[in-house]
Amino acid sequence: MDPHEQQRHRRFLRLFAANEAAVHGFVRSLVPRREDAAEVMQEVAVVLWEKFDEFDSSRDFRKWACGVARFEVLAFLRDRARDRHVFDESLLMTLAEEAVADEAGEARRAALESCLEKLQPRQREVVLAAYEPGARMDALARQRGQTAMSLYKVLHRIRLALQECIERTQAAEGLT
Amino acid sequence: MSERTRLVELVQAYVDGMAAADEAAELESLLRDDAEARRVFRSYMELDAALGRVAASRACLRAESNEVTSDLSEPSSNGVESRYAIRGRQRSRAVAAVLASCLVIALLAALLAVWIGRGNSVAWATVVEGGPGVSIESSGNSRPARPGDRLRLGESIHVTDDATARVRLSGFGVAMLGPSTRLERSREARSVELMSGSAEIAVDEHSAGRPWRIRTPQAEAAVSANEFNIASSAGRTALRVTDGRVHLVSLNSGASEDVRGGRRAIVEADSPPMVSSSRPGSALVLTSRRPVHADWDKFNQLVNQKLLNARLWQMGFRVDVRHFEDVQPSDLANRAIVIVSLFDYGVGEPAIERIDLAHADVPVICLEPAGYPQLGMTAAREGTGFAFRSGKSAVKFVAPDHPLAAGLHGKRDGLIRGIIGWGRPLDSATLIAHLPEQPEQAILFAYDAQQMLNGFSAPERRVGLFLDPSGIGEHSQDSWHLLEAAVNWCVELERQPESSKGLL
Repeated sequence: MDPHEQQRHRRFLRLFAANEAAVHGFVRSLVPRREDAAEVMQEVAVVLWEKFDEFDSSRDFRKWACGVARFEVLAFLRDRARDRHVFDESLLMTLAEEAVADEAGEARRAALESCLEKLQPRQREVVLAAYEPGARMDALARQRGQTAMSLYKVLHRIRLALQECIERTQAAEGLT
Repeated sequence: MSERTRLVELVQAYVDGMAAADEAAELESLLRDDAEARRVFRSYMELDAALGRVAASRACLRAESNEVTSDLSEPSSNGVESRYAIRGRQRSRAVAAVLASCLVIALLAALLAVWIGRGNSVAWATVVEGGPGVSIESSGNSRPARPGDRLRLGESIHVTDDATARVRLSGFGVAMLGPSTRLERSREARSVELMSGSAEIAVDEHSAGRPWRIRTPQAEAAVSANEFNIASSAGRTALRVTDGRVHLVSLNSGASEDVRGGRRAIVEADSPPMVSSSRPGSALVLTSRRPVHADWDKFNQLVNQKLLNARLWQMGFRVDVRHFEDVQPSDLANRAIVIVSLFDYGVGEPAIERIDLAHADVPVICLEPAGYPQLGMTAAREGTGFAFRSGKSAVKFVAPDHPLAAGLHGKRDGLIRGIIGWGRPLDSATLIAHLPEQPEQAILFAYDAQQMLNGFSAPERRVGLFLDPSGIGEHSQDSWHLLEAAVNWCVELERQPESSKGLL
């Protein structure tokens, strides 16, 4: 790799690393399934690098990356149009536009860290175990001596608590 | 329930991939009309992504060298808790640093894939056990499959009719592939195509609401099971679930069934899936490696090949073969059925005794009359309990409605053409077929679980079936149907009281 290419690559990595969480959140808000979002993200990363020459450095990388990601998401979802969880394309476009315009995502992600720490250790352990890559809900439920359905309910309650905590944190910081 | 509560409920179900079709439609309608609903939806989806990232970084932290954790962790028996006890910027910087390193590694890997032009070549499976008769095929080219070989998109694995293979399916689990199997990755995500043959799959990676799918020419199975067998051949798909649940859809009829652990389903032609009970576990076949008689050896080979390859595997059983000389009591664990094939005097008896098969809580089909006494199915003495003679004979079916009769009734020719072997069942047995005019010389008889054997009650079902080794062949359809019927009867769990017992 020549020096110019190396420099370009480093610059891309810095920008991508700084915005990857935001782009992932954007992709996830459009893709019904967690694993698919991860799959799309891999493709998005590749396409962003391929198109990086087109990026105008005076622009917001997050918005540019989300714009690129939107096309990848729509292409991905068109193949899954029969999936009952895939929304109508016009709704997806609306969700995408609103997500790109939403500037508060970073604050929400920061709030999540402190909210996670406020959970009971046992709750925190459960939710993070459930979200670990390759986690099996049935196995986790068995390990905890409960059914998968009751574990889902536990997760719902924890997510609700986290969501409320994030909103309270944002409200306290005057972000909503 | 308030509108907000209902919205959150729908969103949570959607996040987990658990929303039913009407719930997904209800959510879509709410989102279309209400900007606040979209904000709530977006925040939950982002939360989901963020939790995934935090959990992944935790896993990454755990995998990182102890340098990071030893610098930061307080002495504790619980490394995770101690990490969470770290407050403030120090912790955030550490997590961010590790997370960034994980991201960079992942990204570099993705970019490297592009650079070397292999963006489309992610391995969907890795060969764990291969060998002769197992190959990887792509665009008309074929190469032997060896342990460690990776299958890329567009490549399929092919197992010949005298081989088996084991592969790890990426993101799914481990599959034992039976004979005559062809398996390939579908173009759809999380989906494989079983074009023919059979597979026993132990799933080790589940994801909530996003099941893997296995498609055969007749059916599609959405897998929420931990262990199951699926087979496709001769226009029929057979599914047996050991643990968990599989949603099976008949591609022709569109009808579907949930098949749970301890049940099986068959899909044929336009029929909906036909579900019945089935004892979980694999099949164990006991054979002799000592070729004492050309016909008998041929029979054992047929049992190995035709029964195993063309019957049991196709019925959804993984099959293990053990020789009488080698079999051990531990070989009986987790078996749905044991089949005792022919043996010479002094070969099978000690093995049956060594593994205490007579008292084993597993159904047994005994094809060897000399094995009947060891299993308590007849009296011990040869000549009264069982016997052989050469000759040709018809067989008379006297219980045509019994499932073991496989629909055969009256006198049938062609089953016995050279060697006659019979057993004299006890009064508690159900007699299905015997030599004409000799009702005490049974060709096919059975004991249900708990019925009296010779001095003890049967711990599980027992079937005595004599198939003439000198006459059986590839086209002996009646014989194979009888064997298949015996297997089906033995593994059936929903049992009706026997109505025709003790016909002797």
